[in-house]
Amino acid sequence: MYLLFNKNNILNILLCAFVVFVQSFAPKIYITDSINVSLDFLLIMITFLVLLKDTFYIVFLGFFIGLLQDMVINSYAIGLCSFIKSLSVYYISKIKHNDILWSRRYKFIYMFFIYFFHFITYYFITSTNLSFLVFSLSFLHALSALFIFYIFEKILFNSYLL
Amino acid sequence: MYKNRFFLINKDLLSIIITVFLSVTIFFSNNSYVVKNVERKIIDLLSYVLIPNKWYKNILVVKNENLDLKQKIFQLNMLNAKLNNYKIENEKLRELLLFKESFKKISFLPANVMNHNFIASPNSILIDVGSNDDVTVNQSVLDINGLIGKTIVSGEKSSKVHLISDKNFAVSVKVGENMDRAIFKPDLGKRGFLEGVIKSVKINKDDIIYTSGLGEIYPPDIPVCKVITVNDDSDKPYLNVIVEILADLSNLNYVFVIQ
Repeated sequence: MYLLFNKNNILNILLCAFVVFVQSFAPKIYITDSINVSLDFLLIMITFLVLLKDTFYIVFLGFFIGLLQDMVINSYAIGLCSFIKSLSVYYISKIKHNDILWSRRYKFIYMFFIYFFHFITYYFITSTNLSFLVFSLSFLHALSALFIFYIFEKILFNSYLL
Repeated sequence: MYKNRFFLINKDLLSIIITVFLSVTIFFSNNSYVVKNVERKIIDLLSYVLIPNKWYKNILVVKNENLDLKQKIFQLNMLNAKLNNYKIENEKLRELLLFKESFKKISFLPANVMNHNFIASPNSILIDVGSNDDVTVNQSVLDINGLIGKTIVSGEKSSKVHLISDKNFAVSVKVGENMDRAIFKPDLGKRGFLEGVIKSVKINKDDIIYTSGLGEIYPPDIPVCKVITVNDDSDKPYLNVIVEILADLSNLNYVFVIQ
């Protein structure tokens, strides 16, 4: 009943459903036949949400989105995406707390490292080796996610969010 | 005093502690009934979300694929005619040697792959057949080139297939002329390696490696991988055999579940 009377929550749920739908049709960038980079819209969405809303709720949202991702993509590592997603949300929220202290460029670099940590943890646990390929894939994933974030931030917030 | 301070704990920190605890608990109870049940429900739900994907794929891909398949059918018919001759010859020889039938009859259930792009290199795929089509867990899944994996979760209308490229995957294979046993294990991407290939085994580049049929899950003689390199390291007791998975994991549209 609380949800029904809270327009904001309904909008957030609809937004999440829409992004999950978009994510399932997101394009992949093929580097070789078996290696590709996909655009993680779910991570970008929770980045926006954590910068705009209360961290406490978005950490849980990140957890549930990660869990959904786990159920779909993972075979024997369910819980991995929910762990790295909620941890990423928590650390991205630090940008809010240091909004005045940090420059825009520094915030982007910080965000890039969080994205990089997010992807490298996933690849490290699913492939158990830290090869050059894992590093470069994580780097490309993080870069593509940051690029999409930058574009959306420019369009939707006219570069005022960070 | 302390009691009051406890309730002043950082709310954000509390949320991350709870979620990390839950994640770790789920991570270490992957095979529990509750996790598997939720997984079943979610993949069934997702099968509805992915209906448009199936629809546009059918429109865009089917026409070209049909032409390709017609060519392949023709080539396979020619090959089949040749193999039929060998079969008759083989059966006669078996009768002479009083051999028993060594293969069980198996049937293939075709299934569509429900492509999703939740992450670049998933460890599993979803297919649009489930327990309603008599699909259960631990059934082998193939594409036209070879082994893809096995079913690990079976919902009502969809199932999850554990891919051969996942590091947790291993399958018993036979190598060389004497059909010695080895274990196929995947590496990153399409590459993998064979474990336990003894040095006396004659194995060459481009040899196709087939399942041995040991164990309950995989029937024998399913093509798994192709040999890329064979190195004999004098310090190690086994050959170092690098292989490439035969199945086209980057472009999966249709698969077959062995029943």
